[in-house]
Amino acid sequence: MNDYPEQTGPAGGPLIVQSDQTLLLEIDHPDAEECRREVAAFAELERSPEHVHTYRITSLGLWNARAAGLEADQVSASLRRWSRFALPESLLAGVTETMARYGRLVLEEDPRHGLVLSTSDRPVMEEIVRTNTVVSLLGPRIDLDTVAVHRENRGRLKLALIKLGWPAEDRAGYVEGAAFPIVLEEGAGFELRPYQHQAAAAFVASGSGVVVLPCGAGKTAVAMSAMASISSR
Amino acid sequence: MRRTVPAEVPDGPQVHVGQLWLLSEEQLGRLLVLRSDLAEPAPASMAELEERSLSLSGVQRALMDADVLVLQLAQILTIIGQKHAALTDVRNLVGDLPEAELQQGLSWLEDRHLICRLPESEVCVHIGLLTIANAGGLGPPATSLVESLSATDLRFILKTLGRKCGTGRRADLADDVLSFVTDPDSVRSLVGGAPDEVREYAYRLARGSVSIQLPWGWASEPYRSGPGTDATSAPMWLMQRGLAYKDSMHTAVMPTEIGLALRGGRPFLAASFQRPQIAVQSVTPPDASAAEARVAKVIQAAERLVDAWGSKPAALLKNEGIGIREVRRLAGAVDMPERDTFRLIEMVAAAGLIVADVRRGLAMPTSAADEWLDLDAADRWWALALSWLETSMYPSLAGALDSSGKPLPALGYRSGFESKAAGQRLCVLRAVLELPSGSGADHGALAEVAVWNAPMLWSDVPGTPTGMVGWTLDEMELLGLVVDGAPTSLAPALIGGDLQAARNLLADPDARAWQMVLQADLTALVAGRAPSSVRAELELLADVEGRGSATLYRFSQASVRRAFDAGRHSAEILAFFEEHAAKGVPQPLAYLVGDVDRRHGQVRLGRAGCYIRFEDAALAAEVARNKRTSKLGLRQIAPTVLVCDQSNDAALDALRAAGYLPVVESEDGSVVYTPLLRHRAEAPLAPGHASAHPGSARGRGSSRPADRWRFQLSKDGTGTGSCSPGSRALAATLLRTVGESPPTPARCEGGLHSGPASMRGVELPTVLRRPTLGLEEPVELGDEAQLLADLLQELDGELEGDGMDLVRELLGMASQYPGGADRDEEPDRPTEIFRSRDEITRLLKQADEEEWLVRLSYTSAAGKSSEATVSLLGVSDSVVLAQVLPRWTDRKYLVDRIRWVRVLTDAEEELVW
Repeated sequence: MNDYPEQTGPAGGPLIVQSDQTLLLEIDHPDAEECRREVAAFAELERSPEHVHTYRITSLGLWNARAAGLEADQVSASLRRWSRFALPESLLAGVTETMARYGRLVLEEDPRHGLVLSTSDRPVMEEIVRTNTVVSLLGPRIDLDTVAVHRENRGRLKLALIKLGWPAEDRAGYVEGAAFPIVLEEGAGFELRPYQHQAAAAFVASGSGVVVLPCGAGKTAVAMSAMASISSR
Repeated sequence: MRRTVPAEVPDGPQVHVGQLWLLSEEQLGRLLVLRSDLAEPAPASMAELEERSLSLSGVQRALMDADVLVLQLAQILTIIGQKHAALTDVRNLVGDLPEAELQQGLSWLEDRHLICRLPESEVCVHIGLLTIANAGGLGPPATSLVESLSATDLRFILKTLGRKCGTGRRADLADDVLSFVTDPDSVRSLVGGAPDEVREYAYRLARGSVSIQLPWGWASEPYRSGPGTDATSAPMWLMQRGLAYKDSMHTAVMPTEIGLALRGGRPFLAASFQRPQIAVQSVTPPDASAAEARVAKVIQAAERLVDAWGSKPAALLKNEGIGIREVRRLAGAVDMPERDTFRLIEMVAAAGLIVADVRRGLAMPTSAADEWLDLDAADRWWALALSWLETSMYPSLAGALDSSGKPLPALGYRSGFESKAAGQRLCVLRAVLELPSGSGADHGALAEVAVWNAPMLWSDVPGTPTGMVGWTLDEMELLGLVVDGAPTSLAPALIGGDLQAARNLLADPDARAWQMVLQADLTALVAGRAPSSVRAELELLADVEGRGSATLYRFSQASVRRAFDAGRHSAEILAFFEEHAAKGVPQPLAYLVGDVDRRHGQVRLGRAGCYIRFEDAALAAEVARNKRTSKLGLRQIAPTVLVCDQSNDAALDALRAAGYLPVVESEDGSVVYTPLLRHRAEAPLAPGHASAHPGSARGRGSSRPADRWRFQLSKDGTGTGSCSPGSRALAATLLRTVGESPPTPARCEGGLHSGPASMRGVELPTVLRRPTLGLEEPVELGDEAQLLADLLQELDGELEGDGMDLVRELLGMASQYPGGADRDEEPDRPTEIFRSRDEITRLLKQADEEEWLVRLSYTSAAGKSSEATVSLLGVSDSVVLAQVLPRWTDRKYLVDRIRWVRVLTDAEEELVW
């Protein structure tokens, strides 16, 4: 069995991009941490065994990335930068197509009609006003590109639109509240562990995410740390 | 056979076409390269080679890749029509063609030994070249046509033309006609003066439609009718004036000279010796990575195709080929559009990696595919590309829509119109390579160039040249020879057969780099290209979960078991892991293998015809060794169990023959007894009787032929043949009693306890046995008992539970009636049903002593009531041990839960025994 070619270590990037929308991240790679930070912004962690983590590119993940201000080009660039092998063309096309769907519909505050859903792409509006699951959440049509939304349906409408594949960009905003200062007093018998620091930093950096830790590992402390860093910004 | 070349005959101009044996070795070798068809199959002798080179088909094949210029030169030589043509004649006909190009064209023909140049500015033309029909759309030379006419016909023509007939000798007449025909000016003036319709017809003929279809009846000579007759018919007008001649029964042709004259002396109407100028568009020249990406994609797709069909062969359509549904399924796996998937299947098949097995109706990889899978990327690409270049099929024809709009199947049978495919492909590839760098061209422009380069290749093809060029370009895009219309460096490497150049271009230092990582979640990740043996082993050990640049495998108990089933051992598997896993073997995986190893084969099964079970192992061993049972092929699977492949009956016979006394066991382990078999049939109903009383049970009871004498014999021959009135009254009463409503146990009991008055007078036979009710026993019955039996039979289907019990009680009570001859000496069995606890205990104890069977009703702990007939084993004040009939199973009853008890009557007990 000696005629096998030598196995080599991770030559090239730490990421393997599969055409089935999964990203395999080799975590022992020197660039793994930087790559993980970029990839986590648009892909969802699916499995995290000891050597290779699996992320999956989903529509929702891409839309969240768009909502956080990431463009399709940036996603493609990250994938290109970190990928060890040539990228599957279909995947990049799919990413661009999916991300382009975000923002065609906009939820905004209209001084006259209150909360409205408007579009820059009339066929999309025509499609959604013909869909049963959505139309019941909408108010009267204001013009061809705009439709009123009952305020209480805001959340349900956003979910229904995501299900339909046309996520709405919510620009209506929320009521400004008074800032509540939180400071984490480290040092006096209380100190965050390194992984808690990492988790809090990652959470704050991406603006969203799910912190997964075993029982007793200190998820609350992570949350406190995240809140403190947000309030100190 | 070797022929000696005469020393005084030098090479060169003296060698005439056809005389191949006079060529030098180098010249002959060159000829065989240029006209490869001459050498395949290898000719046996020089004579055979000469014959091939002279044949019409040989010449046609040689001209297959001639461009328009060469073909037109060949046609000009045909028009000149002589074996030795003067170069001046050729120059006259080619017009303004530059001398260099003329010489180039002639050299092309000379290289292929179709002409020879002679020193006196003459060329010697291959006879085969002269026989190519339809040179430039012109007919045969006039000389040959005029020769076929008689003197009378010639005289007729001359008369019609208004010329003198001279001496009247045939040869002179022919010369006169020829002198007219070969004079372009007089021909043109004659046609110019013809009626409009005729003139138009003549010019049309000259343009290229060579043969004139003659109507029926024209077979008779057109020259016999008087001058002027039928002159209105254009063919007749032309023939009568020597402008057209019959060349068969029903066709006529216009001679070359006339056609040439009417074309104004130019051999080609749209004579174009000029290579078409291709309209190019500027495109970005493809960078190496684009070509590499295409190559990687097509190789990967081909691998997946081999993988997919290797694990599950594709089903062929009924009329052969892979249909659209199979292709759609595959398109997902290879990540390509359907149209390209069709092409891919054809290309992979052309490389011999997959094959359609028509007999089994399946398409699957060949053994060559395994070899191919182990090659380097460059070599794998080369195998695909070279096979594509040389295949005599159109890969793009698969998936193209047929006349009914359905896609043609891949790998389907296609008639042999694709013989020019390889030539066309090469032609297109060359046309693409001729494009200046950084430019592309549309399909139409490329098709124009391709057709100009080899017009004979593009006749009789399934589509337009433009369409076919489109196909070829799509295939080239798929293979990475062209990226977005511009050729990559791979194209010249392929066309030049330069494998090393392709290897250099596709060389990837990481091509063979691979890594296998085993993880604790029972997955294996193989990044890059693992050797096929490693992949095969992993596919045995685990299930593929995802493919792409990396392959993800998942181990499971089932997948590891599969490896054990294939004969792997735990140590072997772990050694494989240890050898290849880059980051060690995770514990859960090692445990999984160990666990499967431990459990694999703990349960074993096999096929057997029957088993033979023994009380002791010694007997089993003896039977196993016995020569007389050896033909059963007994196998010992346990110390006391043998199995054999033969049936129960065969084994039983063989064992008995060997002197053993075997019995047969049923499925539940009980012994099967086999009574001596006597054949009996149920007599049919007497006709008429049944129809008179269709629903009557009693009617049915006596409706069989045997019933009558049975009844009389049972009355000792004294009976009247009918029931006594008293018994009928009893039956009526009984029926009324049970028929009213399902009697409650209390009512039944009360009724029995006192005994109905009408029972007292009934005379019963000495031995009363319960009638049949499924038991095949001899029956001795008096007529009253018969009546009861009938009644019971009738009720059996209608009554359940207590109602039936009532009748059974009646039967039992009847047997107890005093007056029977054969009275038992034992104490009277109590006939009552006992319900109080004390009475129950007392009765049970008595029954235990007397060994009577009892029937009891019992309520279980779960509150479920049941009745059972039991044989008592022991009775205490609170617990009863008994065997439950009919299976003799031991059971314990709590006295408190017994609802009632009665002792079975003699008759009942006898039934049980």
